[in-house]
Amino acid sequence: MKRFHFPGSADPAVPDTFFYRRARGYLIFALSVIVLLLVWQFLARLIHLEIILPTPSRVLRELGQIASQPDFLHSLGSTVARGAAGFLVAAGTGFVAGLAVGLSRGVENALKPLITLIQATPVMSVILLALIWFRTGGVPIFVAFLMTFPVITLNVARGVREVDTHLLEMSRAYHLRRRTVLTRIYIPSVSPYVISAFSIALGLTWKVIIAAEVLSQPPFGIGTQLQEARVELETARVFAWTAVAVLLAGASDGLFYLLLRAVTGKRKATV
Amino acid sequence: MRISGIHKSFGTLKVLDGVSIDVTEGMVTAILGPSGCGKTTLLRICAGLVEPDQAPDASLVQLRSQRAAFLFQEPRLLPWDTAAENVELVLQDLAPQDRRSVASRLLDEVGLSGYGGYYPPELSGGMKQRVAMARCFAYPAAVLYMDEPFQGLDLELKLSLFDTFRSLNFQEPPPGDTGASGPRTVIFVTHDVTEAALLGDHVYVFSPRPATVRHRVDNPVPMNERALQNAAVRDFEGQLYGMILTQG
Repeated sequence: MKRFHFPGSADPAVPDTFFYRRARGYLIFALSVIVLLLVWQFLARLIHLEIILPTPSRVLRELGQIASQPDFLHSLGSTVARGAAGFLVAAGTGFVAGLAVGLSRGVENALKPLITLIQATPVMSVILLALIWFRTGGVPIFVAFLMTFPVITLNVARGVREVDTHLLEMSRAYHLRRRTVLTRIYIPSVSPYVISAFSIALGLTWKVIIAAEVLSQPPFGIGTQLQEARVELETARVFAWTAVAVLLAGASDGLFYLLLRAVTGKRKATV
Repeated sequence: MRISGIHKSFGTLKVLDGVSIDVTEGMVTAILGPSGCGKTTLLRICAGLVEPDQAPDASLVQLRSQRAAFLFQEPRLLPWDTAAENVELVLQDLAPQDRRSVASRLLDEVGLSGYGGYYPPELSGGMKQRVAMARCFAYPAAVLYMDEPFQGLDLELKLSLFDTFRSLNFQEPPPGDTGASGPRTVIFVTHDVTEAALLGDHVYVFSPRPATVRHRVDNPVPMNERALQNAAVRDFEGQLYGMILTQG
């Protein structure tokens, strides 16, 4: 959960302790959500055409309906599996490539044209080409990999390059072993960059996976369901599946940070 | 030990122009010169972190072969490790429990008892430099290179760090020492006349870049009698100021 800071908004009657600041933060967050819902409700009432903009309650009902369908978990699970596959492959290869790019100018120059090319290519071109090259289920994985690989590589490389040269010189002066330099200097310096790279890539993965599913139409997937709902002009269902995608992205982000805390917490305790 | 005729250029920039200094074992050789004159480069050449323009001669090779500890301008501590872990970092040859006891003893000696579990960002600038000093004296070494480690600290803090340095340098070497006993051979680079007068047994006064040796003076006051209140120290300080100001 994000914490908000509003300097100068202190009420003298409310003590400015950590607890109250935190509670106030949650309150503002909740108010913001309510305002957004009210604006949505107001616009839906104003337009008064469910095919253009259904009301929040209508979407919520639709969400309940799609969630109770037998194919729901299959569709959700297929998208999750594709996302996980694309992300894991990109994370592994991107991490290794990032280390190499960060440590060697030669590797950087060798990989730069490829990375620039991938980054400059429109996502739609990649999807269309992938449709020509691969089976439908493989298309989203390939596209997600290709879109997130440069993000991870470049972030990890930047982290490697930002390692404090003063600390490295200190490690040479004190003849620290290679392994010690790696575990005590390189890994702690690079890890914030790796974490942010993985977090950005994870968010990007779901968007790209679903976009690719819309076009490649695998038998099951959130993208497939979105496209079907659109074709049938079931706008409420488009909204409902979108809500599923948003919840999925939020849940994966939360899970990622929970996992991270478990790992770093354990490392701190054993040292 | 004589380090002689050191030349060093970075591209077209000539930094050291045939510098020679004598380094006496167990003594503090201070190099006093204006900022950017190349004295840090000389120190790094002595330490083997930078290569001189010509191949190192026998005495430089010998100096480099000795184990050396460092005090840099900055504390250079690992920000994600505690003060104690930072000291233990350089004790990789010792068993874990020895590492811990050496680190805690040295943190006590630099006046940081109870701060072993603190992370560098939680410590003040002076405390961080104390941790660096603890790390430097925990490391078994015969030579100590000091590159303006007191720069930017206020006078009171500086003087107390000098005292810490003196008490650490003249005590028994830590366990695991590689044979060198007694005070370390120190090469101390500074642009501060007072620091040179208080710490240097021999003081070399350098010219601005490209650096050459202008003067070599011996400190008339023995290390343990040196204090700002001592008139002889102040005279020596005045003598050094005179040398710098008449350089033109």
